[in-house]
Amino acid sequence: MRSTRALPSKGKILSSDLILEVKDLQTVFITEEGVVKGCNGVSYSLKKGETLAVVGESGSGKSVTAMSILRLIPEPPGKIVGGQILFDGIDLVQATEKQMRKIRGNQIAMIFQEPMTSLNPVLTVGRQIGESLQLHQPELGKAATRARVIELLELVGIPSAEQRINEFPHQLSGGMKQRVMIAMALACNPRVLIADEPTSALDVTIQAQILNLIRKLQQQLGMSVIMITHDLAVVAETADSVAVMYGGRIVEYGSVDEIFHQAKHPYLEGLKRSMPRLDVEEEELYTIEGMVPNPLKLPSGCPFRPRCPQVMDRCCEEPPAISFSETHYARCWLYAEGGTDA
Amino acid sequence: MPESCVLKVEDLQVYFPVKKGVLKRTVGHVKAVDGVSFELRRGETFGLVGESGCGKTTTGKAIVRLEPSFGGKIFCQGREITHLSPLEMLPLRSCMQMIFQDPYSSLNPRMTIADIIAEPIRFHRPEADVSAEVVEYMEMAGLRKEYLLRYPHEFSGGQRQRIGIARALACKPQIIIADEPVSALDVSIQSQIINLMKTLQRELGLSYLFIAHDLSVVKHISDRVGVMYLGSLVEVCETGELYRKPLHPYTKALFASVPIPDPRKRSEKVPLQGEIPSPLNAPPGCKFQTRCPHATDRCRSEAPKLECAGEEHQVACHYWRDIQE
Repeated sequence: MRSTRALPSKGKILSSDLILEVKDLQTVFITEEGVVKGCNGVSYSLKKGETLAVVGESGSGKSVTAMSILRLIPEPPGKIVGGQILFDGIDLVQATEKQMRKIRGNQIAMIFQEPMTSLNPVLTVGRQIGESLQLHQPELGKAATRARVIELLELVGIPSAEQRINEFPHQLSGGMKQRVMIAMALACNPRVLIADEPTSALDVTIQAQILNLIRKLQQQLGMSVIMITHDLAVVAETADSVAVMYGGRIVEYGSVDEIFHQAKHPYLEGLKRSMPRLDVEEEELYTIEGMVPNPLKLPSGCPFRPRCPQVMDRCCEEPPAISFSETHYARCWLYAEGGTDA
Repeated sequence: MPESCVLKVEDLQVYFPVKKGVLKRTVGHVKAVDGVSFELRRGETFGLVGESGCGKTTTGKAIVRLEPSFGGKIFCQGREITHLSPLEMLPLRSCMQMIFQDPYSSLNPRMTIADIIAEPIRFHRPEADVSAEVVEYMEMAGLRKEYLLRYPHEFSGGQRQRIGIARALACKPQIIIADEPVSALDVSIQSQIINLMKTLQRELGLSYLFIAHDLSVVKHISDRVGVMYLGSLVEVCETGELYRKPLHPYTKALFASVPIPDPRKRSEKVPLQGEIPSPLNAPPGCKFQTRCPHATDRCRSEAPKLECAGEEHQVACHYWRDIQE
């Protein structure tokens, strides 16, 4: 059904442009010390061709959400206990393992943070990329698979692809390995690409190359991208919409311009001010006091409460999501009077 | 060497031999650091930036003699330390301390915080009142004294980095070599550590050699910056001027690659193609020639030396005058 050309066949497009919808997702990890709410009521939606950035610090639940979409949460200790993930009319939370195997790597693909450890060191690059092709498109012959792998390597900008196909991961540099990971993810023309910190392990000049490559491929192939990152600058460069996560929840959600120019949540505001910047002169950096919260001991109500400079008594209660525009909301009591409850 | 200069490096070379065959003969060298010269002045922060594999960490390690140098000279407070024996180095060790990148692996997991900080005090100043000093250094680094008897695993990354800083301070150093001290930390914690380091510098008159790959962080903390590429310094400059007016084509490309946290300033261009070559077979002439848009035959044969381009500005490029728009 799916085409083997570099450009994807049109396929089925949902009536609206929505491709993926996460609704009130709850994933927990049951550990000896207690239950960790890895992601606690996360909702977001992804349109066709859109880039959604999920930004947060370590332990904020950004990767857990992505892993839940692909149902890659190790079970036990992890478990999706609530919510829906709607993709193509199927609820991925309820999907069988057999259904998931058809989606994983085929319709939704993922690139991981560390290209050094996510490639198999004893298989050639060509074999690893070909693997998902053979799994999802067994009708392709050996020669056709090889031709497609070379085409993919050229697509991601690897020079002399004909030779590279026979090389092993250790013969490639970090940037090249990440390109191979991208080629692998693109092998079956996925409709959604989840990129989990795709450039955090790379140098800035290589980071610029890889971000540009993802952007170019997205336009060329019409994919939607979920970009998971801790780096607000990467968000500013790539995203259309942004979800800011803290303590397993989305604390603010909006278009990239709203997030950077009309930030509402004190956490996002603090995060932006504590970043040293190349384009602005500053004397002393702003600091958010305290530590990134221990996910085992999240406070009641707003998770940012213990570090928030504008904390109030009401923050012990669950903060409501206040809408500022059709696309923009923040979960904070500060705006409770003026805004409308969503 | 002028009074104000606490550390001076002259033409430092660190080569690692490449051995092959049954007899393990040396068949070549990886020139990790190849002719680096700079000085660190009293109370200033000198930032060393560059991409991975450019030799910035090796430079730091060679200065504290954790890595043997192949050639060149290192002066610490006017005294040459390049060839001192480990025993002769001992008294100087308290003068130069290092803070490491990974706060998870640089603290002994079986020692309490008190022991970790007390160890250098007991060693260098056995006559001191150890327990009082430990508390003093913990407070200096922003750690509560209730943490005294806890173990490193009970702390978060930012707090562990504070322990590493307290341990370094306990030697009463004048020079601190900080190797990527904040790159393993979350953004909100990063700024806490940077501000702590700046405060300590003001109060104790410390000199920092600040090694990092993050240009924004280096800009924020440094007085002067050296940019490294493939084992050599390509540009050394006072921070403000370097970020306003970089001269070397590599520095320019490096700055242009840094994403700006503002979607209204988004750019689509990729400033630098290709990758850093392997230091095992570095290109002849200027090391940047394989990726430089301005490279000529002269660059391919003759290596440029650092030359003055201003009062506090040196650049290693044959054509820095010609390529300014």
